[in-house]
Amino acid sequence: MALTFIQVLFMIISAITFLSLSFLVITLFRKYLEKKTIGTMLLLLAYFDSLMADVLIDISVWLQILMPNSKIIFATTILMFLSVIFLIHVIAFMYFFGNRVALLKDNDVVKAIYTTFFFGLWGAYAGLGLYEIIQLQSMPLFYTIFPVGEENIFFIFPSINNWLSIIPISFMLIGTLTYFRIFYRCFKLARKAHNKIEQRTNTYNWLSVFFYLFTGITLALYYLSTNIYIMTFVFGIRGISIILASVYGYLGWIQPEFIKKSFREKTHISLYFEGKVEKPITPETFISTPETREKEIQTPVEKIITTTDTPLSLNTDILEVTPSKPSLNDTYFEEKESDLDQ
Amino acid sequence: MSFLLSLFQNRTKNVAVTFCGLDKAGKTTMVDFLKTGRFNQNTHATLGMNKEIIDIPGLTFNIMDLGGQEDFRCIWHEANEKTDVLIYIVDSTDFNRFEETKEIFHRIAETQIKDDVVIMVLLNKADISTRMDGGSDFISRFGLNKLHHTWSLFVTSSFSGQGVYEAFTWLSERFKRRG
Repeated sequence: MALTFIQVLFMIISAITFLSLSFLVITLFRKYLEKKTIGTMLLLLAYFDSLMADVLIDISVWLQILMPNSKIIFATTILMFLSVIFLIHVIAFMYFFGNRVALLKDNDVVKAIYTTFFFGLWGAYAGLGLYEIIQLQSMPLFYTIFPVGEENIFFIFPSINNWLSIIPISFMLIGTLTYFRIFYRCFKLARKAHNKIEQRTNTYNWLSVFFYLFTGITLALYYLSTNIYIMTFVFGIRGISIILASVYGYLGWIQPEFIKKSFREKTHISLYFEGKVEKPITPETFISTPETREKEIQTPVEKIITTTDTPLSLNTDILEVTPSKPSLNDTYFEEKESDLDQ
Repeated sequence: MSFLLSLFQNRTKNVAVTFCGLDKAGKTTMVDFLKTGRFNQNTHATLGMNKEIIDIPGLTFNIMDLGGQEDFRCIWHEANEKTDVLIYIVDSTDFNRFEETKEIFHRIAETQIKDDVVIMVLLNKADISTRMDGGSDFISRFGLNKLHHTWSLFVTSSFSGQGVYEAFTWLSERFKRRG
């Protein structure tokens, strides 16, 4: 079966978006294991749902291209239905993440209204979607097929040409509003930041949220045109947006060590360990010098402090020096054998 | 597969370090010396705690410099329970409070830190001539030989840098060896 250029392009873009989102989810999962905070868990769930939504779209695209048959429309309907469910969860988890980390400052009443309204819509969407899937209808009411020319590729999204369109439109509005608020807060925090790390990480965050928001906008573009080139372009733009959202999300939300390190000023001890500065020479008046230590190793002595009037008079003026076992005057270690084995 | 795993592996090991000790022992001055390589005589009493991050090749020390005044000692356990290294600073010129610092040190070692925590005692202010000696007598008097932990003792000075480099070289080698 010969694949067309457009089909190959769709397959490559979907594979790259899957890989970039997987990378972000895996690194977020590692971050969660490290921090074990509710905020990190909410962000992880948001991006995990985002990955699942993307995977389902990717699977449907690959199935359409590689196994075109009469049942593919039904399979795609189920995959797209589940994909939209995951996308809805992304919005909810991002909203609660935003509130958790004080990017959004909604009070409990607003949160309760949001949750009730949001999951009411979720129930309506899930119920109607399932009804049509169970009825095995050719999607006359709730879904619309968006074919990509004659390429055996099509998308199935909720219809917006009847009264039920209120549901997908509401989700789009809520999602856009939620993401826009987080984007705006991060943007403001970046501008008000007092230090470089804060400024950069907030910039990465708003860029990530912006590109994620843009992927939602690209979904809306499918409704505007079914032209093969426009749809391919939109799919490509969506892929690039997901990659950029993932990369900036990684840099901003995860804050990998190399990013933090690049902003931190080098300390004196760091420069010493890197061999860029020398250890200062200790003046002779100081008690311990490398030379005196070497001498002590050669002629081992133990300094015994004789206590006189008080139980603990650690006055170094009163010293008796007696030959004893070898010792380094200023440095003592005691290490467990088990530690050394590790 | 190992290549993919290595992409996700953090090559730098994070080490949590707490600086404890009585007030005026020189904890903040020591941290300042690590940062700048200079003696800072204008430090103020630490209120609560200061956080610093120091990177050395292969390791990142997340330092918590805890306020030594009596009012702040009640928050030490929160930092010490999560620490990998306890750096306990003893003012070698403060003969009067030797028993107090010893008692506090042993309380931390026995009740606040885990068994695998590395303890580094710094007998500080070595540049002052009337100071305690850092010999084996100090070890027995301070009760270091009774500890179950891995420990070390260095005579240091934040004024001259004496012993500081050796102490942190020892510490870094220990953690690099642990892998």
